[in-house]
Amino acid sequence: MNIKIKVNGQLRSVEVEHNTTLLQVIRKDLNITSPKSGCEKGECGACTVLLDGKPITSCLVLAFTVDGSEITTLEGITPKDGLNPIQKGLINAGGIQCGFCTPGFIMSGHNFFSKKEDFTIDELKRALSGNLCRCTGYKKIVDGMLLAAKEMGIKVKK
Amino acid sequence: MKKENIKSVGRSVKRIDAEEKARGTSLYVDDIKFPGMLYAGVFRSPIASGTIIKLDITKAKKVKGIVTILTYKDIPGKNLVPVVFNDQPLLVEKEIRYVGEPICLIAGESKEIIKKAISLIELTVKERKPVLSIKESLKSKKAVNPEYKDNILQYYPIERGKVDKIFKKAHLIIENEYETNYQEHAYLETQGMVALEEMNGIMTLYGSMQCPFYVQEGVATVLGTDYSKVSVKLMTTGGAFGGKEDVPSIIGEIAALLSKKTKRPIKFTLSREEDIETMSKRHPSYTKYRSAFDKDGKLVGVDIDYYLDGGAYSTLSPIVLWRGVIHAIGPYDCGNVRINGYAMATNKVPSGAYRGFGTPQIIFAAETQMDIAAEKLGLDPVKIREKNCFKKGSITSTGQVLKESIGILDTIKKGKKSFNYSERKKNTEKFNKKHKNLKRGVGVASLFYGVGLGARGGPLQKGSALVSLFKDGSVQFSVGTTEMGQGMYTVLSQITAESFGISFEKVHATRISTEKVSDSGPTVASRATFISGNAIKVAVKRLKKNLTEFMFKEKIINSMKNIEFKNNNVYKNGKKLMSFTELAMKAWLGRVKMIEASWYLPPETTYDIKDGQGDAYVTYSYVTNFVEVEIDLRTYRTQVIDLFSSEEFGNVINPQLAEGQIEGGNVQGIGYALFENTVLSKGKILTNSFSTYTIPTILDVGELHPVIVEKKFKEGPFGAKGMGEMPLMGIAPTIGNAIYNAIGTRLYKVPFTPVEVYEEIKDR
Repeated sequence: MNIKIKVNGQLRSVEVEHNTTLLQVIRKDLNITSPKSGCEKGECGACTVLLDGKPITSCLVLAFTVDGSEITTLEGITPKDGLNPIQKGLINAGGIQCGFCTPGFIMSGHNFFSKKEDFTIDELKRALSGNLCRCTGYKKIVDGMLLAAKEMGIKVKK
Repeated sequence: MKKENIKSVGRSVKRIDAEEKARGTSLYVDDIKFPGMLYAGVFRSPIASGTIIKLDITKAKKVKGIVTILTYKDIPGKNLVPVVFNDQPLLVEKEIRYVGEPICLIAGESKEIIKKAISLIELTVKERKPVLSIKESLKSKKAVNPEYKDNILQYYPIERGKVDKIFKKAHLIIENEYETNYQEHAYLETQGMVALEEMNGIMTLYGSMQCPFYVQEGVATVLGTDYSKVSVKLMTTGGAFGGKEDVPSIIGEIAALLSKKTKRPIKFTLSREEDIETMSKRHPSYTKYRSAFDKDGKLVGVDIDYYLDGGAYSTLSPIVLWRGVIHAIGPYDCGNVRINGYAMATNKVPSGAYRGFGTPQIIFAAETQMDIAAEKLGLDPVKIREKNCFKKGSITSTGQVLKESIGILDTIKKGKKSFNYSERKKNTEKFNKKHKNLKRGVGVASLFYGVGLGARGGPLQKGSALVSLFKDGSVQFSVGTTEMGQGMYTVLSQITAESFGISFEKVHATRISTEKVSDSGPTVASRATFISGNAIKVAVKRLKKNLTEFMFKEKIINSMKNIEFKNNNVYKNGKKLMSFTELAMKAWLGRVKMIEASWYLPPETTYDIKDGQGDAYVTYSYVTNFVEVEIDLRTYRTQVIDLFSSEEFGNVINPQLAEGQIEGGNVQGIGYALFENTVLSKGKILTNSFSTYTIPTILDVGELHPVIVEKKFKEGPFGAKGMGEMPLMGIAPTIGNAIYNAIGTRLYKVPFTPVEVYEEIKDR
């Protein structure tokens, strides 16, 4: 069947099967490769994208169910020149090692900060707890997110 | 004028690959496609032990979109996965030895089509009773693998001093048994490789790996072709931790065989389930540990039987076991040592390399013993370690005299201070009086780690680098070790820049490939900085010599003495001659050799396989961990509050990257200690996903505090040793000792899941 979705602002039309996942559509049909396939079960968060503004694990979403929706991937929130505050924060804090989980973390972080004027570190960690990282031990990911929050003028509550 | 400071080493320069990873544009193997590319799949054994009676692939072959199905008969070269003993076939011929062992290889237009074909392959087997544990393996009369006379894949002894005599007269003897389970690498990117014949018939593989040279050997072996007709190139690699040392050979062999047969590019990537069920993992272990102490708390004797569950084939077990045996007594000078180490065969997926390589299991036993001794002797757990740990001139269990860069005592002292040990201990006691259901405790554990492959590394102990200078004064390099996320490209760029005295930004690391440098062994054993860093230094030294000779020939200088390359300039007797860029251009015009391929051999190591004596490793790095934990007596769940990992690994090239290694390794250690539990049924791994095999999330890790101690190692590049593995290795005993401190329950089995803690409390 045919579905129409808006991906990073561009209208795309894709032929899908009943069991094609959104992640497969993004990676295989649309050649957008920042969402990664780490488990295909919604457990690792590496395939996190925004579906109509909400973060989801795209490996668990059947493509035909999102006909008419808007999808945002890391490509969609990365400026053409320069980097967004979360990207800068993670680079400066050393929050990136192998990089496979990085796009997912940035999407979760982006969604978290987009609705906040202030936050607690515990709230931040909860928002990122659906994303697994095996390299960093998470400390420098949190540090990177805090740098980003500072740049965006979002305050940390005690 | 602003003072120029172009120092690269010792600075937290940003990773050279950070921006592309932050943008999500780095290409991992699953991100690449080639025209006409097919996908690959494997039909695997559903049973742990048995004989194939009949295999029927006719129905599967007829599925639309299936291009080929191969069995062992279709392998043009040898049916072999070469590692150490060469006992593992790629594909089952007749005898099945573990669940998931590959039987047929399938190429098709999509993964879904391949799945359908796999379901139509008919296999008739005669099942045998499998050997499923170390204890069963010891009892079993029949060998799992008939190429061996029994189930001992490898045996190493160490015999030193008078063990029996010392145990007869010792003041205190502590004797316990310890067990540890598997640990899964859980790299976020599963195994994968793309194979295709590129120009001139070169079979080329793009993949995720720790040793392109192993893959090259594997592919040449199964194809029956020249090594020089196989090229292996590294993609951005999404974590490895030992799990991509030897097994990528299997992935590469499969992709290459199917590509050769179909004459089309093949992509072979594993699903998470297939990866967990069929790839290597940390060996389960069983240890009988006897320690003898004198009345002052000095460790005077050790007698250990150490068993590793190697699985169905030997793969890397011989080397994993060796490292475990060498490190079995910990960083302590003890004159009387007997160690018997065995790697046992079982009908399970072969165990292999995982960060720490046979040491976390035995360190768990050793450091728990040390804690028990401290209590029985009325000594503080920190004191007993201070008393026994290596000092200058100490002798290891292999008889090696330690001469320089011995930081263990410093790690204890600095760690203790940072952790605020005495105060914290008092505070936990106060906390425990106040709370009925929550109990806190502090724990400590020390360890040492031989850097590099050591004496059993044999012909692999070498490093190779290619360094190329361009006429604009910029530099490109390549080495034989790989980047898998740890930051090697960045650290080696720093070493290259510092060696030339030029800015870090002028140095560029290129893709690792078998086409650029010679076999430098695997990227393991915390060796990349040391081995490749030194290889780069050799190449840069030669290039600087070429440039200096050129300046002498051109009469720019009247002698070749006192030439310095620093601050992006060249100096003679402290006086600036010209900028490095100017010199590079002049040298290019003057046809100077601007490329050097180098070779570095580490200092000799020795080892006598009969009694386990010799200088096992070139040097050692050291760690002492301090942890505070909280146990909830309603759920028996343990939470780390603060972990201070105090580590000495020579001089530090990049502090931020080093901290990243410490924190990441610490968290894998926390997972090993508390959560990560593999469950099998009839040899089949049931915990094949992240919901059943649970690794730490951001909420599970507590506060991490890396503490770095620097102690220069002269032979190391800019004084560095190696450090990738140690942060994981001693976390289990540190946490186990803290749990004992909190609730008085001693744990002898890793992981300390709530069920395990409950079982121990219940039996008390």
